[in-house]
Amino acid sequence: MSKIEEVKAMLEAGKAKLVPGLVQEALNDGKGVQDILQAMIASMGAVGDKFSAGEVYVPEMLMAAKAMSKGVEVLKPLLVDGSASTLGTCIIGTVEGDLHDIGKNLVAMMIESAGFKVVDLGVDVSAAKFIEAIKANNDVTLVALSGLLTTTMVAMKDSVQTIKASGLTGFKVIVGGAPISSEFAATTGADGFAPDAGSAAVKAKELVMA
Amino acid sequence: MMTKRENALKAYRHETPDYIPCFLTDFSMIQCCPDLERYTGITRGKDYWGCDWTFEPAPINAPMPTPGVHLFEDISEWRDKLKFPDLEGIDWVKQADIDVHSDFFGLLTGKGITPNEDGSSIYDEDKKDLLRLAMILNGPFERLHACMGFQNALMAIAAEPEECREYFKAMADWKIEYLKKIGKYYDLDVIMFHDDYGTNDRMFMSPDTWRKLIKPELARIVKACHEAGMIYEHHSCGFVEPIIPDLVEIGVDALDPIQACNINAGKLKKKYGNKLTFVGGFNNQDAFERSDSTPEGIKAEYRRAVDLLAQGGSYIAFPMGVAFASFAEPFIEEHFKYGMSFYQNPANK
Ligand code: B12
Repeated sequence: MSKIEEVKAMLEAGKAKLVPGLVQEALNDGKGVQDILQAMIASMGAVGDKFSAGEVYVPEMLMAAKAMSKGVEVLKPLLVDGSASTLGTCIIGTVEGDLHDIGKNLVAMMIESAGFKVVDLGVDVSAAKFIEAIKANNDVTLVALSGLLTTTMVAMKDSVQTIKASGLTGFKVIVGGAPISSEFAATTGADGFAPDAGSAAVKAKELVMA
Repeated sequence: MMTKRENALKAYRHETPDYIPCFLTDFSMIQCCPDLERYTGITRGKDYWGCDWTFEPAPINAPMPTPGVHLFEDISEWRDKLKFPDLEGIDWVKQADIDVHSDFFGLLTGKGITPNEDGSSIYDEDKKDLLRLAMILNGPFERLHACMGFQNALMAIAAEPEECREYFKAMADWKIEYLKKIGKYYDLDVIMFHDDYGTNDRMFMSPDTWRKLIKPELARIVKACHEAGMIYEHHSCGFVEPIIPDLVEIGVDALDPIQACNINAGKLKKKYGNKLTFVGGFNNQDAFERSDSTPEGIKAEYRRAVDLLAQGGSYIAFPMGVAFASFAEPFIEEHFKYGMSFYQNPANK
């Protein structure tokens, strides 16, 4: 197995302690920084697909994401601007009134692993806070809103509409969360929806590359 | 004429009662020393384990684990950092007296622990009619993430399953002692034991992981509950279809709230209804608490779930949600109209 393949296998197995060493070994073997990074991004994509297919569960996915971020730490000093992102910045948060964050965090990890820089605003995020963050960050290409309570679906819709009406441009809006369907997502005015964290990363890429 | 309690007990014995028992009309609910498992005030504070909670005001009216404040983040530290509350140090006679006089719905509506305004207790003559249920919050998995944060807990399960297994064993030992106290100092019919294993479309951990780490301990808890003379009802939100056969196997008597994401609930009821009482089954997310929810929609959902799950008995109506108040009225109205006479139709018996 080549070093890059080893990195991929250990990342998919969620071995956060082993991945950084293997990444270093791959570098020592003369593998390119971008090659290693792209291999890890592909691996996380594979983990995301397995999650979507119900083959792995939240604990395994969290471990893989942790392994990825440990691996990226080794690469960071070697990356041109110290950042692994190629797809721009994603602002993410759970909507106002809602404190559920596990799904949002998983989506953030998968989106980050797909090549975005992620700015996580946490939970109970108002439309005004989303807008502030869009203004405060460069190169925002995606805004992601999570909602787990049916009682905050209205807040989600309001937020999407306020963001869309703010006059700010250059980004797409994606929404999701347990009670959100693609039909409801469409009524909010969002550009995209995904049912789980694996497909969220796929959709995010698709939206900003379109 | 059967009392409401006797009627509900028939459903818990997987028989067909005279009418569908309903949580909102046929039950007395209490918690046994509620501060043990969760802070009960209306600002911020700790439970008996030292876990930190912040009260969320209306419409939530419940405490949430204070974000970022953990007892430990590394599972290897649980033995040092987790102080199991001393059950012997509680004056249970006094505590039980407080609990049976407490206003349960007051707690759910943000009043904290207050005595019933009329001074009544669940043992009063005029409440003898009702089935007595105690809710135990924060089962072994929930306690784990209350202590160390949800993501840390899930990662520990993947990274250090053996250590988690030891934790679950110790936690079950403690819960069993707690159940013994409840059996001794209270006169109750049912324990509703909370431990959420489901997200909306899958379980948090794989069913196999659950079987290895949690099932053996839950089996001991169920047995202890039975030995203490009470029925064991398990509460888990979300999708739990894969473990329903396991719950039946370890002797769980009833399961709630069987959220509608368990899309095979109808089939599962047919298969396991003679061993497991199905409690709930409502699509609370789509029908009860959306801005476009209507009384008609709530009533239609009552009928849908009842038609799907109540045939042949072994069923209890129990709606879940953010706040009962927003949908209880049409729900109860339909219960009286439809649920109370459901078993008069021989086809439904
Ligand atoms: C765990 C949980 C909690 C934990 C949350 C811990 C935390 N740090 O997040 C705690 C115990 C704190 C909690 C509290 C409450 N909860 Co809660 N909770 C749940 C539960 C069991 C699982 C949610 C979860 O974490 N899932 C795991 C993740 C991985 O899945 P997910 O969030 O769905 O996310 C996935 C997808 O939806 C998608 N996704 C998510 N976000 C996004 C965003 C984008 C952009 C995209 C593309 C995709 C996407 O990808 C994710 C990964 O695949 C659900 C049950 C359920 N059926 O969902 C109830 C549930 C959501 N809770 C509910 C309730 C009622 C509450 C409380 C009001 C209860 C109370 N009174 O105490 C409070 C509310 C607090 C508040 N203000 O928000 C209800 C909501 C009902 C309703 N009307 O909507 C549910 C449905 C339970 C039920 N039986 O009805 N809860």
